[in-house]
Amino acid sequence: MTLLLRELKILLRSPAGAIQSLMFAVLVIALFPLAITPDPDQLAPLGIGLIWVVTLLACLLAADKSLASDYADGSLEQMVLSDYPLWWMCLVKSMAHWVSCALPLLLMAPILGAMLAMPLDRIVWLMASLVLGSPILSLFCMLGAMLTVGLNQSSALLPILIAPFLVPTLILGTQWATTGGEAFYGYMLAALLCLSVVTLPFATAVVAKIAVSR
Amino acid sequence: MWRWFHQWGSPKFFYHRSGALLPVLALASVLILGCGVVWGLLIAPADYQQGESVRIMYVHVPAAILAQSSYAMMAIMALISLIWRLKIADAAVQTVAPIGACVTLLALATGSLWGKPMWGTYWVWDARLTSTLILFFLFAGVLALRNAAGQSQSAGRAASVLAVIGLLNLPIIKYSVDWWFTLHQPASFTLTERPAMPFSMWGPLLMMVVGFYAWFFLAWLIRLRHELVKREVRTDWVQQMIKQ
Amino acid sequence: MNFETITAFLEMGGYAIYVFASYGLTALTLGGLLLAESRRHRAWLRRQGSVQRSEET
Repeated sequence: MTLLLRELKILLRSPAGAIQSLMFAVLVIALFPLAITPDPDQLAPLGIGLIWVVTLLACLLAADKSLASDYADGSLEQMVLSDYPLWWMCLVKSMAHWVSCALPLLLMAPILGAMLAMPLDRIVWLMASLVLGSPILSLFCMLGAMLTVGLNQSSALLPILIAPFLVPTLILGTQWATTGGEAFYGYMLAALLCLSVVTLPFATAVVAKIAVSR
Repeated sequence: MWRWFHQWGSPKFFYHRSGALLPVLALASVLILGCGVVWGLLIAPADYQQGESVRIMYVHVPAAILAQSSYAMMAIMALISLIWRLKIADAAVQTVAPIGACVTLLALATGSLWGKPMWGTYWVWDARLTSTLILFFLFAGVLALRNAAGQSQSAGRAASVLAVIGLLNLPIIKYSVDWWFTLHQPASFTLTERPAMPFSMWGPLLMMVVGFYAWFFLAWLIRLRHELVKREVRTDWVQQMIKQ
Repeated sequence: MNFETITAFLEMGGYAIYVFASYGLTALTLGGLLLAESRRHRAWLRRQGSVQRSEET
């Protein structure tokens, strides 16, 4: 619990990361109407997919920074060597990544949706799908960050490693939102979230042990 | 049993014993693939729906099967290297990844060459093609991690973990792509799912699959033996072998 | 035998480009990989051999 508080305090003290991923998302979403068309009738059907892809990219881009400072100042090694449950640390790190990266985007979703001329009910389903889906993104991003921590070019490497794993989340999330909440996709997304929460922190913990031995 | 396992786990023993397998595999793959190509290109009948273009099946389907099973083999080797820390299993993971990536690319290329006459375009977001593409990205991830992390032991272990997680995720990816595909486009015409193929067609197909496997193990073995002597270059047995 | 004449075989019922391109690509991949591997191995052995000789002298 203290670990969670520590992470949140660090986030509050330096909100630069959260602002960065927000800016990234707003910027990219602003580029689409410029590149495709300003016509609302053509933009609206693309909205859910575009915002999902932008969220996914923002999470991937922010991931390597979430461990870099811990690795540099040795606190990652401390945590691995201490008898603290490592999976809990990985879970907390994922939560911190989610709070700093996915949560701001989730709160911004109505504005992003308005930029793409999405109707309100679409925006609601988009936010619901992001609520269920984005934690999975954060858990996988933390796995990727742990795999690449301490390597040079880790920020370029991480998306290559992790993006294929995010495909099911992307598919289920966007399908759920575009079908207007068809139960099957919702259940599947929730099941995927449960599965990820109970397995990925342990996988990340295994990788953490390898990472500090580098 | 355990002694046998340990013997084959030692690079020196493996190198010397596996040398005898090379000519066998080489002969087998040349013969089987040669017969398969002749059977598939010349003797097998044309399809009543697809005409002569169905002959692409005899290289596409074996490549696709091999692509999937080579990922599975890589992940199993990765698991073995993680659990028992066998040097040879780690070398096996490293050497099978590029071969698997090449085979996956081949499956994609032949698939799109088959798609052009059948669908009218080189690329269709068909469930099978899409999941093969993702499989290629998974191979690329393992390769990229390996290249970035260098030759150290921990690099191998990290790549192994990634491979194992990839294998566990493969069914989830496959099912989600299938759902996505059926939602957008009800399966009307898939290339390979057909009611009861006659023997004149699955005969050459089976032969090509076996031939592809023989080739795959040959290529893997050559690569693995090269990797082993490279890693063990400072030991006596490699130095003696070089002298000869 | 499925084809009556050699020209019929070469035409492949109009699908010649696709069929022969995919077989050619397969041959290239399968053969090329093997060739590259064995050449690399032999070149490495030769190089190591010269290293060994230079160390002995």
